[in-house]
Amino acid sequence: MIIRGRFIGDAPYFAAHLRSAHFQGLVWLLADTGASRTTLLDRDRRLLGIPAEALEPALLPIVGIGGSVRSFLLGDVEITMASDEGDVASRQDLWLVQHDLGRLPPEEVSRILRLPSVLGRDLINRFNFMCDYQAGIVQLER
Amino acid sequence: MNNQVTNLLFSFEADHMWINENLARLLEQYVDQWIAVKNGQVLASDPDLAGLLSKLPDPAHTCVEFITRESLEMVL
Repeated sequence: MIIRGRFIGDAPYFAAHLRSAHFQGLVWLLADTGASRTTLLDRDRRLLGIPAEALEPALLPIVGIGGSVRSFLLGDVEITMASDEGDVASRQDLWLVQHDLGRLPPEEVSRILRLPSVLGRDLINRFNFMCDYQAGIVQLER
Repeated sequence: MNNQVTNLLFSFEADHMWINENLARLLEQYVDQWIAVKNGQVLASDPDLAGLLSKLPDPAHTCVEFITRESLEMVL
C-alpha cells in the first residue's frame, strides 16, 4: 500500500483528512522528519474552525525555532490519507501550536499564517518513507 | 476499496498542484492576497485570511494559499 505525496517547490507534502468530535476537514501537511509530532499550526486551526473546547493543554513542552507559542493537544483525531488501495485511516492525538499573533506586526502575522502544518515522525515512522526529490518521488509505504 | 475520503483528498491535492503550476498567472492577479481554490478555479480572494474565510461556504474543505513574490525560508 502506497500513499503518494507531492513536491511543491522542493518541499514534500501529503494531503490528509482529519476528523474528531469537534471538527473535520482537509490539511496539506509538510513531511518533516525533524518534527517528533504531527502538529497543526495557526492557519489550519482557522481553516478547520477548531473550537477552544477541542484543545487540551499539552503536558509536554514543545520546543521549536523562533516565536512565542502556546501548545495544545487535540485528542483522538482520525487521520485519513489516500493510498493506491483507497482510504488509510488511523486515530491518534495531534498537537496544535498557536503563535501569539496579537503582539506581532501585520507582515509577521502574514508570514506565520503561511507556515504549513507538519506531518511528524509519529506518523511517518509507521511507514517506509521515501523522499527522492531528484526523481520526484515522495511516498509512505507498508 | 473505500474511496469516500480518497476522492476528496485527490481533489484537494490537485488544487494545491494547480496553484503551484499557475503561480505566475496568479501573481499577476492576486499578489499578496489569500486565495481559495476548488476544482482548479479561484473561488475568492482577500488580503486578510479572516476576510477570505468569511467568503467561503466550507473553508475546512477548500484549498487556501497566500500568493506572494516574497520567498519564505522555513526551518521548522
